[in-house]
Amino acid sequence: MMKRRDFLKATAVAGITPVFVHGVPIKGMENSKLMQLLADEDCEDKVLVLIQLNGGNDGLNTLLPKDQYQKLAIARPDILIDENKILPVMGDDSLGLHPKMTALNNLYSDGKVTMIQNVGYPDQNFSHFRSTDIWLTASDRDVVLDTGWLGRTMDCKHPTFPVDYPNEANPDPIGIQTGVFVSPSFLGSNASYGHAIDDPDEFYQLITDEDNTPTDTPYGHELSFIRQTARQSNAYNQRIVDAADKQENLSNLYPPARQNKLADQLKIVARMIGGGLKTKMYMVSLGGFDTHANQVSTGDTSEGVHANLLEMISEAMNAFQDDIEKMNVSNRVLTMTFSEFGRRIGSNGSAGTDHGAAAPMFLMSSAVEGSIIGNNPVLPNNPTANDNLDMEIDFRSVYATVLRDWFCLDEEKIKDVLYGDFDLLPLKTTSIRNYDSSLARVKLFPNPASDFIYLETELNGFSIDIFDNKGLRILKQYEKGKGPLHQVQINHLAKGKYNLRISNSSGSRVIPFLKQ
Amino acid sequence: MAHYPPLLATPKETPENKYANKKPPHYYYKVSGIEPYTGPWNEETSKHLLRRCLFGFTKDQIETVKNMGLSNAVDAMLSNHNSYAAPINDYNDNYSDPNINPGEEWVSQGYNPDPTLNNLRNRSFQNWWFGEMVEQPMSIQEKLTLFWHNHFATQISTVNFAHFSYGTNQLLRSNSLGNFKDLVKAITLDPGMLLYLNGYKNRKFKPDENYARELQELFTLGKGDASQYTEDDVKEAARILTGWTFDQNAEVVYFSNLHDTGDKQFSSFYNNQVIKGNVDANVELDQLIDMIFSQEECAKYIIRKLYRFFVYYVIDDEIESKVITPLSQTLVLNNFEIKPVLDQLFKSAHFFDPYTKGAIIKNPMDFLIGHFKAVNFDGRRSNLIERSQGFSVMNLLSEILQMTIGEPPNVAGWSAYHQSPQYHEHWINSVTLPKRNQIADVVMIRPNGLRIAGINTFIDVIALSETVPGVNDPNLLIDYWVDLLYTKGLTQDQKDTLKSILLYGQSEDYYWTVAWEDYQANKQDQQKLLTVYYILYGFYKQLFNYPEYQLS
Repeated sequence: MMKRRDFLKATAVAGITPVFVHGVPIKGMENSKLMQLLADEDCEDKVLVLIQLNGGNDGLNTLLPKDQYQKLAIARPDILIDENKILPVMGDDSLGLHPKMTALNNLYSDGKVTMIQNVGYPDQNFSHFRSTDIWLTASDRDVVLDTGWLGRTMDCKHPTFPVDYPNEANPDPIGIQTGVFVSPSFLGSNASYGHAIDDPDEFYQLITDEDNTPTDTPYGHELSFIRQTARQSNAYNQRIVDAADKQENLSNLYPPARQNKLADQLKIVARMIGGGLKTKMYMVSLGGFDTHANQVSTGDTSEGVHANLLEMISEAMNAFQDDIEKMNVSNRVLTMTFSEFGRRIGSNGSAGTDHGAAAPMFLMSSAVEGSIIGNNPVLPNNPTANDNLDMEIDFRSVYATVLRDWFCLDEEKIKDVLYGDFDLLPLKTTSIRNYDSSLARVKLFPNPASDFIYLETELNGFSIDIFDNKGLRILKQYEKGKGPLHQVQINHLAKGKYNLRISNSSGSRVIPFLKQ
Repeated sequence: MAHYPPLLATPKETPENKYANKKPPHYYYKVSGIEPYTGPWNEETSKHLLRRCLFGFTKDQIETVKNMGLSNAVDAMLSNHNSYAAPINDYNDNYSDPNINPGEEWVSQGYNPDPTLNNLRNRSFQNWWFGEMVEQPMSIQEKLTLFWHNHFATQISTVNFAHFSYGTNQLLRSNSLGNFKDLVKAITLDPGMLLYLNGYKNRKFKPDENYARELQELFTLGKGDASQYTEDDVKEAARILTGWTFDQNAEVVYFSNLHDTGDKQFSSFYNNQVIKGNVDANVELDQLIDMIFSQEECAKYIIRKLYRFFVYYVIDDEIESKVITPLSQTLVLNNFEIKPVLDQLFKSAHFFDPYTKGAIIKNPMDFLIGHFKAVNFDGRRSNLIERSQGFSVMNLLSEILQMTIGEPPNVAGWSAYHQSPQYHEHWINSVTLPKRNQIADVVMIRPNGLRIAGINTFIDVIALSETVPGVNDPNLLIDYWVDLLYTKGLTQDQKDTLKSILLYGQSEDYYWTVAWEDYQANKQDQQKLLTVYYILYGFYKQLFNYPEYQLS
């Protein structure tokens, strides 16, 4: 049976001509202007979960451009996935996923995953450490920043942090990092917004005496820092224990503990979100992607070190998504993967790959209409060991889009946070509050339509807005509850594509239709 | 590298936000340079030298160093010591080693194909290493070995041949006070490093850049503004490094047919130098290292790293000109010998400037070993197997605190020593700070405490207190510990809190005196023992949990 999102994808592909935004083709998308109208919606409860893949993920063995398969076979014969094992991606014959990523592929078919191809930055730096800093601080290649991009984002809303934090309005950590080291991405201009958690069920009361140390010496400076850590830890850890108390994991798709490090971390994150923490940003990580040697098993390139890592990502993301859907919080959560770079086109003779350049990113949410953003990479004809994938989409474009669509930052603030003006991508978010609510079950028919469209729903009282292809509002009306069918007259509309937004107090949902 | 603003003409009273690491404290302060220290030599200065050179110290060592005087004390610190023994078979309880008897060393046997045995030997090696740190004599060697391990980082779990990792450790240990340039060459051809950074797979026509990149980025030049080598320089260096591998006995082997004998062209950063191809890769390697070491940045890079490890992590324009530049000149003048540099630093006015005192957040080794030394905790066993097993508990504790010996997070070492702008502050966060306190607590809990080599051991707070002169006076008891443990003391409020614990909420000093003397007179009385135990447990818990305890 075809799911609603399958239908969306199928129709989009049948549309043949992809939409181009800044020269980047968007498959599975109608337009993005709508987002700007929706942008004034409440972003207060939105949560961003970042998955850092440490070491540089081999994108070419993750999301495979099948139209380049012959060239890949020349460049990396010893590690390339067999063509017939590549998972077909619904609606796109030219792309495929690693065979261990079935769960993620299903999420894509379900319309909950957006894949962005060839993300990177100009003039790739091949150092792990420098390139990781570039991604975490969102700096230019040659600029060293001492604040992170998430930290600067939160500086917009919390300019005095950490003085008098936590407080009544902000009782919870602004950012949470699973594990014990806090990511530089959380560094704001005054302090880190990141709070490390290891075991959410454990609480230890720290000594917090008054902080009146002069900070004009290194000793005073470090002592202030430790005291601040102690004060925040006490306040935040109590909230974390309370949140963990309130919410257990609801998905049975998680692998057993300690078999999948990423899943173990996401389990904690799900409990924190479900347990009601007001935390905006979570950072989890998985290491081991620096596959210079033996990244595949001898005899079967679809098995081995890299395959295991991709399977972990796929299974962990799937279980996490299932968990937060069951907790009824999935529409508040956007999950995004990134890695400091991709790897070389050609393998290196050690059955591995050296540090490379552009690579794909995955974004997952109930509140995105899944799509593929960006072209398939085009490989040189006879790739050498030194050839790299050119970047097509600057990683800061992805960040800018997340800041706009997920954190409701206006253009000026986005420029301030990212130190520049980056193209926005059409990451289409739907703003449905409860994924399985009656909003999600609204049916629109017929489509295409000429004189009338009908909405079938059990909702009592809701607003209807219709936007044209440029994002202009054409029609607004309020429907009172009177039976399951609601008629909307459209005979006065010009032919073309439209978006209908249906909204009530619990949220809204956008349904595209075609006027004939 | 973090870039800090230059000094203000007029120092500011307070920073705009005291938590920000962007305006470091030095911004407000003028400090002395590398000229010789001429101030008084006393208990304070002795403790500072001990803190920097050792993992913690005992009360006796303060006296020893004080009596030696600055010059003799530094000379003593800058001398090598011999390892106690090699790692031994401490694992035979669980797994029978067919070749090595329990209690005997396994390193001379070399390769063993049994992966379980190899794993057990990896653990045994870590236990041995921890023992070396705990049982260090008055020498900086162990701390320098850790410095070099952080600098030339390899991971036991990745190398996964116990005797390779032991070999790398021996190289760093025996050269820890040696010559930096020689050490770079030696580590380049060290089997553990060849394995860790894939140097052994780096071959003509199939170059692997991993080591060539880290050699420049992490080991010698860094990624600062003055270090402008190019991607092509990485590739050319990789070609020079082709042809080396090792055999299973951890002997380096060179295959000239796998070595790229073409000429290597370097960028303008290296003055467009061409290194001529040579069938003897050693000749090329020497030229490569000469070329790298002829860069001014090379000496400065390692000096900055030493400074961040032994003094403080903030290096601004003033520190750069007063300390880093003169020390790097010393390094170059002495043909990259490390000892003269450390000698100059540890005898300098800068080193003993009040600015540098208490500036370092203890790393987990400083914290753990220092803690156990301060409280006279002796986990040693005369039985060698029990001794080694005992250090495995220490390894577990350090792992909880995020510093496992032999397992830095990656080739860049621990982030506390390279990740700006926080550096040392990486050690402390909402997870590790509670863990440090918990560890200090748990070892005092009766009757379990710490399980060492199958024996339940705890820090006996009563016996510990008996060693304190004037223990029955609460003020003397407090002062004794504050002097020993805290670089800049505690506030009167904090001392009052400690005293109120000893007086169990009463206001007169004699409440403690009576409780203590009552117990001393009736040691068999369980009730009196428990009273004193609970008071002292609360006292020491508070004492070891103050934030100041994390500073060294």
